[in-house]
Amino acid sequence: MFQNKLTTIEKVIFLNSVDIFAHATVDQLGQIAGLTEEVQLEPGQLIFREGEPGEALYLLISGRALLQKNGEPVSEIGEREPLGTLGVLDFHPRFYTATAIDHVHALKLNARDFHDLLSLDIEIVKAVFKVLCRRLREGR
Amino acid sequence: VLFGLELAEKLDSKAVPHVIRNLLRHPSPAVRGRALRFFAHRPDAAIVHEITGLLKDNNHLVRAEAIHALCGIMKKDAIPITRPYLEDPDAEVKRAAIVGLLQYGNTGARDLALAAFRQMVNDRSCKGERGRMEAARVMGECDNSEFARHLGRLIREDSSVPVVREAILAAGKRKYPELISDLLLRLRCKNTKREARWALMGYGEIAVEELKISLFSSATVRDIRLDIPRVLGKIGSKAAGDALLAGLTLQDESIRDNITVALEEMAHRFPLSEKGRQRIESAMISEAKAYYRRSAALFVLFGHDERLPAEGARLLREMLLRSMEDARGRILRLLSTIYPAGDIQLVRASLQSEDAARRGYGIEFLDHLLFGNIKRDVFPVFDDSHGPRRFKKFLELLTIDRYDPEAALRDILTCEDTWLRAAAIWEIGVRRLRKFRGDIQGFLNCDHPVLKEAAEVVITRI
Repeated sequence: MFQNKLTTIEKVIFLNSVDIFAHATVDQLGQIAGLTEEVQLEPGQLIFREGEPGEALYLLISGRALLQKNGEPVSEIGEREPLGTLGVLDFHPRFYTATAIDHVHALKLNARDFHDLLSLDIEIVKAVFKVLCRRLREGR
Repeated sequence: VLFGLELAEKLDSKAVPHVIRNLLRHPSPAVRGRALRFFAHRPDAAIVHEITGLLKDNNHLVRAEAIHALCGIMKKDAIPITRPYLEDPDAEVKRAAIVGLLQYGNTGARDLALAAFRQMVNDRSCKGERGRMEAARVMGECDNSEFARHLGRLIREDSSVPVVREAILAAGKRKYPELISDLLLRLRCKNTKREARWALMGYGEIAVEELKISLFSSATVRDIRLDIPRVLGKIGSKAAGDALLAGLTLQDESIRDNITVALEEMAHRFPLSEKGRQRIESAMISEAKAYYRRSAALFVLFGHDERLPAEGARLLREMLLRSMEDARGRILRLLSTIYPAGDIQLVRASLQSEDAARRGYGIEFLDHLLFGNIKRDVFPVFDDSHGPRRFKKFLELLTIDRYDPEAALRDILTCEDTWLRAAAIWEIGVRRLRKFRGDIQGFLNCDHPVLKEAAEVVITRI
């Protein structure tokens, strides 16, 4: 669906479909889009390792990633799914190791940039809180 | 002990000073300092000797509090004792001496204090940061004809965030009108936004006119304009309320959102005038019309079911739905300013419910509550009918005979919301609508990067 070099509006369309930003306005998504970096990962390439600090969130535009715990496969992450969401919010060490299964095209959002944006705009904080509270209520 | 001291400051017992006097010898410098502050507010000549002894305390904060307390008790008689501290190497102690001399000294003493102050405020080196902070605090505690100029410079130019913050807080205390525009600019910076907001609220009525001008000026940075309604709401005067009511006609929906939040807060404290009520009613009708137009656009572009799951939905559809939801939110907030707030709160909770019966109850309740023009022109926003019937009704309310996808897209392409326009451009690309080629070409030279970028991609598709 998306080309290799995304325009801002394409990034916004994509971010709009990601759970953690479900309550963000398009204006806010535009700001988040400005902070993201497009990354291309080859099959088998390491995305992050278990125990590393959670410094970035990856949003998969295309391709799949494998999550492993202690070397054992746990699950797969596919298109439109985020990798390492909570780590971006609390800088908690990675719980899994993530590796690209096939060619992965993703948006990378640096945690510190995201925190800077949150500190600037309480409305984005509210939008993220809404998602986290919903997850808590749903027992996720 | 510190908590007890804080309570003691609020007590009116004759026994309290005796107890606190003993704390002047407490091992903690924080306690000694706080006890001194107590005596600065409740002068007691009997303890001057003990306080003078604390001028030699090994903690600089205690020495500074001792100077404050002595000046509070002895007034002009404290000047000969405190004057030497103008040369103190510690900035806090120096500030205490400057404030004492400015408040109680004669012309000569005040000149000496001002000279020491200027030395602190003009030291722009990194080492001078502490001194500039204390100089800003001096300006928050005392008045002088040159202080507004110094504060303005610190607020605009100082490289140290703590210094800027102190200068902003001082400006908020002294309320120099010439600093309002500098404070407004500081609303834009994340490190100083909170202090600037607080300071402007502190200005109260004095700041309202300039806040109003900035709110209405398209030359003002949008981030600042977005913050102004909150400040006006907290000022909470009649003039602030009038400025907010006037702002209901602004095109920017996010600013109108913030205005309705501020008006809703204010309505709990101030009754609306008849003119204010008319403005609210007129704003609600405008919001309702915008809602009908967006809803009609949604119907002709994407069909009649507005509650499809978000997944796979197009951006324009999402944005139209969001925009309609926002308009409904603004209408509900405005309704709560002229109808009983508790009733509207009940309706709002019902409309947000996932239970269809509860939503129906909320709509029915609102149907009984509203009357007159508002019932005729605004209530259909909450009507739960669907599809063509709803579309037809909205066209009637808009007095439009015919509305098709082309008209809807043209409407959106000319609206104020940049992102909605960008989404419409994108939708034209997705639908490959060649008849819009001329419109899209117009966006290729647009100043807004998102519109320009979207147009560049779409023009290749159509």
